[in-house]
Amino acid sequence: MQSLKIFLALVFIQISVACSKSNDSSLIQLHLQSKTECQLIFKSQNVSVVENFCSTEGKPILIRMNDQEIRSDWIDERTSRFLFQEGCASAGECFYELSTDEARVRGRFSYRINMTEGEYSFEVDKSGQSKVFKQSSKDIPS
Amino acid sequence: MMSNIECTLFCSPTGSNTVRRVDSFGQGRFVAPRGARLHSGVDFNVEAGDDVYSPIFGKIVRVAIPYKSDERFRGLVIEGIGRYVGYSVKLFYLDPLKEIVGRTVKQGELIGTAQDLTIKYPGITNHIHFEITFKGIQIDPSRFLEKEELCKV
Repeated sequence: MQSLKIFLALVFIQISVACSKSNDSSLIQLHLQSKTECQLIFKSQNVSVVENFCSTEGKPILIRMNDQEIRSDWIDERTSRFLFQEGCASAGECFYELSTDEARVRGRFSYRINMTEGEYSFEVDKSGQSKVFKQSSKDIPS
Repeated sequence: MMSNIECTLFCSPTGSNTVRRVDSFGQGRFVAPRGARLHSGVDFNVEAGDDVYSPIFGKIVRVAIPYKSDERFRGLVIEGIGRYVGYSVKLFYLDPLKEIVGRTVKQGELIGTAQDLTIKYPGITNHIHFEITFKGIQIDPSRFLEKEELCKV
């Protein structure tokens, strides 16, 4: 009887954990996957963010989420260009976290580039208008 | 890959193999704690204005900028040549020599002068931050240091 109670408790805990994880699953994390001569590409399965640093025509950011495609102006051009020039301090330290609804994409970008670390939260609507909400950046001594 | 690393030695960018000891901002060894992260290079002690030398035989490919919003500080990126092919060096906190970018430099050759980091972080030990990767993988340069006397050009 005691072991049955323990078994049921474990099943309950597992279900609780699985449910709590499913709440976060709408947040997709995209790590920096590659850099080309002109682009930074962040990707995770069916979602990608491509930042274009060469073309002067069109909007520089392309967000693809499943069947949606949004072209946006720079969200934080200075940080994007700094990352493109200097590279991410280490794999996994520069990433987007995105979620979407019918009207917009919401997200956060977190980074460490050389000796500067920071993050910003943003929103991009369907028309490609971007807005930064919260921004923080800190210089760190080597 | 390891055998290549083990037979390839680096010179300290300061001409001295003395690594920064603990100060109020941390310690200079590789993977020393830095809050939630780890130190990704090795810091070699220096006085502001001292000469800085190339740790490897390579090409100076560009100036590096350590801080996004503080352009007082500079560094250099050097890509290895010859037996240093595959190595990429990043040095921070130095004023590069004029027209050094694009030049090929010998190991131990003068490439710049040390900056004064205490103007940004009072109390910190002035140093040159030295990061090196081999084919993209970060390594600890202090494990493969050449003797100081063999680094004079």
